[in-house]
Amino acid sequence: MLELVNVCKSYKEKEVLHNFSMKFEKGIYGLLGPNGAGKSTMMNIIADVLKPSKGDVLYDGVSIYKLKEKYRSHIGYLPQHVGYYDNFTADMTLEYFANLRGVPKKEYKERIENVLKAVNLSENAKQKVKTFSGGMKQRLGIAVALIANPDVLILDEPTVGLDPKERINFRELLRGLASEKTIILSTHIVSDVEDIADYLIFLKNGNIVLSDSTDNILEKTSVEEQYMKFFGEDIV
Amino acid sequence: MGYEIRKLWGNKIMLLGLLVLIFVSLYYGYENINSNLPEYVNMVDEAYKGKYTEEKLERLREKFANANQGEDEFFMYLSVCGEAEKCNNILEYRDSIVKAAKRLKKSSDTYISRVNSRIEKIYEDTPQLEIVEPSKFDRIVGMVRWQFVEDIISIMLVIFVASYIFTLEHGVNTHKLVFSSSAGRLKTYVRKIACIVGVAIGISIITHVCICAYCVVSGDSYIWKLPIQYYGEYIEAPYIISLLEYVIVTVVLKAIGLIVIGICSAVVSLWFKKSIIPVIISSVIMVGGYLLCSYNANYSPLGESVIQSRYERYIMFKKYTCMGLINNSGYYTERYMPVNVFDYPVDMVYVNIFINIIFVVAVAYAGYIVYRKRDR
Repeated sequence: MLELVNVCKSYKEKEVLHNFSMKFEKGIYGLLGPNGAGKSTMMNIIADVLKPSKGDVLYDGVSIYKLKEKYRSHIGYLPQHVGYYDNFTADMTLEYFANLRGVPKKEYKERIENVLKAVNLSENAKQKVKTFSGGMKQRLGIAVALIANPDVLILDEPTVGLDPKERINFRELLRGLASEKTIILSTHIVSDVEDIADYLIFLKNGNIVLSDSTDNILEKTSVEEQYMKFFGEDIV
Repeated sequence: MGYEIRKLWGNKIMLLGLLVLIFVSLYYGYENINSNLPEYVNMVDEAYKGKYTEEKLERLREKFANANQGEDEFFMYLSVCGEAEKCNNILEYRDSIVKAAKRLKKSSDTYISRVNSRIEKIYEDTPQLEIVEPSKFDRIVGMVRWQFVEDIISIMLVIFVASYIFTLEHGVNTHKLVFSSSAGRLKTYVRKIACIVGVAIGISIITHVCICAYCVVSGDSYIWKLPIQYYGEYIEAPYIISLLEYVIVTVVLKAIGLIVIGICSAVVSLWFKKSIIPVIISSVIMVGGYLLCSYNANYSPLGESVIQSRYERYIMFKKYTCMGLINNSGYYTERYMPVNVFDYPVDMVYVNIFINIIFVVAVAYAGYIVYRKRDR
């Protein structure tokens, strides 16, 4: 189980995340908010890329800053706007990240084949990444996040660049993984999460304005209406 | 490390730099082995060979005093006078070393004892003045000693590679993926440093292999086993090593110098998050240094003969930094060059290697602190 305890993050004078506390169990957590709400900062903190100014992140009750690489071996991360090494092929890219994420060498081939199949890139395995479209690169990013079969999957705006069919495939993929993993997915597109997320967190200016199970939210109103209620003025 | 090399492999600038280095080194090797001046050599040898005397030296000087109209004649004049003056220097050098050796003999240090016995053996006979066309052996040593253009290309290439490898992830925004992996920042950093070390060693090996390639292909493999003392200026060499060992020592020293330069560049590029910064800094130093060198050779950052003979006159910067290891890697085995450390004579190459290794470890550690805290 992953837990954020009073996490704050400031850059000089500006506080971008304020006293964020949350427990993440198995299932899909949708993080909603406009640009600049603090979603990516929170994702980076969970992925151990950023360190909080205050507070702690616990994994199974132990600080991730004590666990270090042991914790990182349990996570898969897809950052926003990520690029890859142009001269690498798709399978070489996956092999590289499998190596970085501590996957045993004898398992490379099987894992690479599985994740490429999951994101529908099997036929492009030997193709150089520089020839990929935006959507293909995004799917490759999802494959990279999945390569080490992580317990915690952190996906920052994963559907950017995907066409409608790919979005549906992606949602199906996440649904299949949700029973055994903690999936934290940030987006500002409501439709990405309202069908699949078990839990929704609305972030605004670094503060949680609403966090509840999707079922509870849907009992009162639609997710989109809630979104407009909190962020309508920001969208305009 | 293999993955870091693969990342580099797709970089066109790096590949172009490597091709230029290979071409320049191959051309340099071919051009030097092929050049010969048999007519001049035979003529001078007939007239002056035999025992060295002051009178002979004077006649040589008079004969070639005005022989600077034609390039070949001028080259010959320089060569002959160089040889003759070297003979003169040997006598003085022998006296000073033997005099010092009497004091040093009291030391139990095996190295100094070895040097002393070597020097005593060498100076049993009066030097002979023999004018011959430089042999393949001489030319290889000459080429290995003097690699000004190759050194500049090597340094620029290492600086580019080191900067590129440390800023690539930030350029394509992959650093977050790398930092969040279980390998983490320390292992990634170590792999990148190992890649720089590998590239520096590779560049040093490639340069020397290309320089010697034509000579190897054209036969005479026996020369690689001859002792370095066969080369005139190495007659005082304290190390009894073969030509092949001499080349290997040069490769290692140059590689250490390139590693130091590479790691310093990596840290600078890490600091600025831009690979172009160390490339610009080094370009300014190299071009500026070259222009200064044209004005006065002593100002060159890759100054020739920095340690060769008048080493005590050179400034600390040249003496103890990696520039000496790169550009003067071939000179360290030329003669015994002691420096005093706590009133105890230590061979300068050891001092230089030690200082550079301490320096580079400190720089690499500082770089790791920057890398660890970057984007946190």
